[in-house]
Amino acid sequence: MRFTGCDADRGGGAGGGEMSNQRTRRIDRVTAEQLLRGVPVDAPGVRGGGVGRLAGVLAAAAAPVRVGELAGEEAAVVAFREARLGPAVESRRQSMIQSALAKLLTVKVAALTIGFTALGGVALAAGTGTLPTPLDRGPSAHPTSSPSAGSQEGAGGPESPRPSPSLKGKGAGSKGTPSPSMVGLCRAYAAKPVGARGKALESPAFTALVTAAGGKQNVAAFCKVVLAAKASGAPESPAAVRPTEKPKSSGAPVEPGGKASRPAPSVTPTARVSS
Amino acid sequence: MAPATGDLTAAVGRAQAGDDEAFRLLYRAVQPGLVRYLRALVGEDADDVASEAWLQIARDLGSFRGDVDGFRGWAATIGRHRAMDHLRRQRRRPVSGGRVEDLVGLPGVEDTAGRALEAVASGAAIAMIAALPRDQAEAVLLRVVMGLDAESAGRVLGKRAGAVRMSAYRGLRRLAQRLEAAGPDTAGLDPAGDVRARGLPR
Repeated sequence: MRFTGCDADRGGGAGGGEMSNQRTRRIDRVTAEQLLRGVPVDAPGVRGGGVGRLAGVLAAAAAPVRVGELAGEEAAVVAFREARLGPAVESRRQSMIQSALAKLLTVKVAALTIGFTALGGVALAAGTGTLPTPLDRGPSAHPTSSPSAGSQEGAGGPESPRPSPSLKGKGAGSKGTPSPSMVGLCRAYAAKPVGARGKALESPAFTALVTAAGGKQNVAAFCKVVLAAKASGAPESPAAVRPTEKPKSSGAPVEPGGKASRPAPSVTPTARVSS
Repeated sequence: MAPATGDLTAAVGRAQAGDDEAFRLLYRAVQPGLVRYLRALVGEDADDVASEAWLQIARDLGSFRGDVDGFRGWAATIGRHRAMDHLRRQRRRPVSGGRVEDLVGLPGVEDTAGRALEAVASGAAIAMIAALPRDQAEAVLLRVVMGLDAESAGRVLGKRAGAVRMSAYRGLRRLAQRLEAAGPDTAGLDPAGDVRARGLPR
């Protein structure tokens, strides 16, 4: 059977091969369907020439997963969890995570308080004045204390059933908007020079990020997704991102990254960012 | 080995009920084909666009109805929409061109020694298909790497099944011509042309 339906394509100009295709012409519909379905083609004469090689190309195209193709897996699963966090999370698991988080947070807040004491003086007053309540969003300068960082691993939220502010928007990821602390960490990560990023992930400040991404090797892909989701979601909620002991400007979207993770214990609330 | 179709259909249901291991299973089953398909639309940015697509899939999974074949088609549709958005944002034309001769030795992004050869062959094969006229490339890839039938592929592309079949056949024929013209060692692929066992369904 000839490939009659395609004669109109003849003048299409597929290079110089047009004249030498007696064998290629034998790709009839049955053979083509077999090729497209990945069924071994056993028509006579198929082994040689373009058709045989074509079968090889298609098999290679459909070959098993390649290294790197699943790099976005953890980010996708995190997005999935965040999207599920509304109604359908098993409540028992959630409550277990809640209590674990509450304990963790108590410890962290205590540690923070001690830290502030060490700073002393005016810094103490200013710092404790803005210290969040234990189950409020943790200071993003200390990611491990952030409840949303915990929820990345545990699929459960702390007190509120929605750890990330529910930002209704139209774009992709509006419901699966990553938690603000992850956004901040990703900005901080992205602000670093490419060469310094691997090293930066060694820092404890990025532990939560590495954990949420499922490993250092996934952080770049993870952050791409997080920042893309952020960009397409609703505008940032300032309260949620406000770092407690840093200049207020540091959480603003205008100033990407950098400042978000820098533990700048400045108490000037209106510190100039770059002048 | 890839999970059976029945298992994956069950996974769709479980993922919709909130099971993230089931979602992970779906991701692993569908992502390789999706990113390869998107390669033909947005080239190097396929990984980013696939990530955006998965964000939307994760978010909208609750509204999906169907089995795993339907899920593949749905994922491909979302991926395609995200790719079109991406192209609009970039104001860039879809990648095309790329001669067969250039594909020899085209590196996979993160080859490791053990899989280097396979990855090169696979990447080169995708690049070769992506170099077809776009309607042909899409038809071939949706069918071969996403495992869709002509009807499903037609729904993704907004075309009738017959039109998709025709595009795919033309694409195959053109590929065969190019391969024949390029000589036996093209893209490091096995010249004997055995259809090897496929990792992706259908």
